[in-house]
Amino acid sequence: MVWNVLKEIFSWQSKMTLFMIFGGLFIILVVLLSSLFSPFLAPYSPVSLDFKPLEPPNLENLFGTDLLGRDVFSRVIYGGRVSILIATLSICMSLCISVPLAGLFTYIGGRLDTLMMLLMDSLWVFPIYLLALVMTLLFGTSVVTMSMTIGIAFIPSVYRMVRSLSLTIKEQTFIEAERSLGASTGYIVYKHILPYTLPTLIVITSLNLAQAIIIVSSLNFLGFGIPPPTPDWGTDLCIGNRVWLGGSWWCTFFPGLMIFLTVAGFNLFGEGLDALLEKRKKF
Amino acid sequence: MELKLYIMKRILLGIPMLFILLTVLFVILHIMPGDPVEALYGEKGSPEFLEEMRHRLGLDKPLLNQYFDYFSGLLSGNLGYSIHSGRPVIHEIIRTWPVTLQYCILTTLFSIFLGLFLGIISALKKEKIHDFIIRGISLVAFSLPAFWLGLLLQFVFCLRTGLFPLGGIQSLNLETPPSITGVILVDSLLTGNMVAFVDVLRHLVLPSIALAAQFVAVTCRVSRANIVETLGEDYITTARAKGASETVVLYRHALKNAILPVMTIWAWSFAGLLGGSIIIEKIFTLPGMGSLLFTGIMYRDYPLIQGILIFFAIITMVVSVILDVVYALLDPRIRYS
Repeated sequence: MVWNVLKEIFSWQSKMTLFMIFGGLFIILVVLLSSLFSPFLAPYSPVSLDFKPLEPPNLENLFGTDLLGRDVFSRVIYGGRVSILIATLSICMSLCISVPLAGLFTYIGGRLDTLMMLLMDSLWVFPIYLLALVMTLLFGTSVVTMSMTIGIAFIPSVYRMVRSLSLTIKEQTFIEAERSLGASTGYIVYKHILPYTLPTLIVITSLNLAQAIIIVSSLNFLGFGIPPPTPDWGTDLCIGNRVWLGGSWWCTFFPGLMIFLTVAGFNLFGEGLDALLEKRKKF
Repeated sequence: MELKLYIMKRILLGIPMLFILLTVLFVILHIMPGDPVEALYGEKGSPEFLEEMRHRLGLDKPLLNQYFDYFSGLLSGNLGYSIHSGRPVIHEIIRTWPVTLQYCILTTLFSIFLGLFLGIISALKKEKIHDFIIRGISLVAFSLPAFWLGLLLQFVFCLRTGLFPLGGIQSLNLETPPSITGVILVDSLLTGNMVAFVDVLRHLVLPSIALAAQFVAVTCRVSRANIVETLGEDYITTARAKGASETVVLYRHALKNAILPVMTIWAWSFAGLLGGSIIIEKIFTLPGMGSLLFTGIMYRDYPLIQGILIFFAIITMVVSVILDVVYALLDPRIRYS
């Protein structure tokens, strides 16, 4: 038994899982730190027009210069700040609303639960993406409103996930025992039901963060997000799109690459963690 | 009989869902700042003119009245008139819908075949090197933002090599086949116009691939998980013990059961495709529903936005009901109560 466990831990498959988790964490940390410390890392100002426009990548401007003569490398380093902030805020909001509600209503059950489920199902009919898109376009695009609307769009999926997990644990005997000992509903939900959903929630949150970053960048790309002078990957892609067809690939390629890497980092981390949890269940 | 009852229930349950959704939409669209008349005429019109336009569109009535007007219109099958173009919303949707439908179907085909293929290999070679490579690919595909992939494809296949056209739904000099169904791909096949068929197909390949990447990844992951689970079932062991070859075990026993849950993903992805269309249509300048929604939002065209969203909702619901029915027909274990 012990031998089997050890073999499992040191097998190359487990190493792949660990590699996924730490690889993902590494990418996330690099992107987060570079966004946080961008004023120290960026060689030039992201907004001043210091250079000749549309210079291809060279030693002075590592990623070339854009249409207005700004350094693409500096803009890429600064570009994650707003997107990551909005994505994080929105996911936090969706968690704060849907997790307690889902835990509570599922535990109480009855008509309220059915009603909430009906509401969530009605929102679920639309893909997250479309919902966020339409609402952000309508409500305007400050950081706060964007995070709120994108957060709302994520509520149904998180709610459904927490609900399905809560349903399985709700009927267990130890919950019944707690209840017969006189534990209150709030106590049971807080002490037993929510902790049970935590591991899966972490996985889902990581994957949702990736999704949220894509949504924010798409909105910015469509030109409905953060207004242009602020450096942002999505906005830069949109601006780069104008010179894309002229052959200036670097204006579009590098911001897009950063979006891809960040999203991949969160996905890697989530997937790896998921695989680890599955393995843990086996033992 | 049970199945019929279930379908009836699903449809009946869909009605309050649609109702809630429409109410939420109505409230959201009407309490937000800015109104269509301003967005459309802005500084150009005098205050009196703006007032008259509002009156003509019924925007000066109390909100509750507007709500009832809107719903009574809906019940009689009237989606209202687009404020921006003045045409009936339903006509606008019918005009643009076929374009979106065509590449959505292409995308779904891509994701079904490629995703299932990769999923099967990955499940059969579970925890082996093939599996990790395929999972790596699907992770990359899942992380690629559709707009970036679209731009990259455009750059490589249109600008550098010129293999595919840059955008649009058909070449300018192409003679459009007579409209029978409205879907050019089908019409050109029906009339035997192969030139038009190939031309339109060439325009749609790149948008479909750009959209498909994520869905290929999702299909691959879900089908892998399901096949792995099914292969661990007792009846598979029984089949193997009875001497069935691996091919028979896989295709006759495992795949049939494993594929069912994947179908729900397709229903979901079909809705997702419609959502993704707004960006893809912008990159490849396709005159589809995504572009229509884009204009609708630009001009704060409430009836148009509402109409498109209702259309999305109905399509998604119909697809999911159909899939549920197919599910029940294919899987005799499912009993709906």
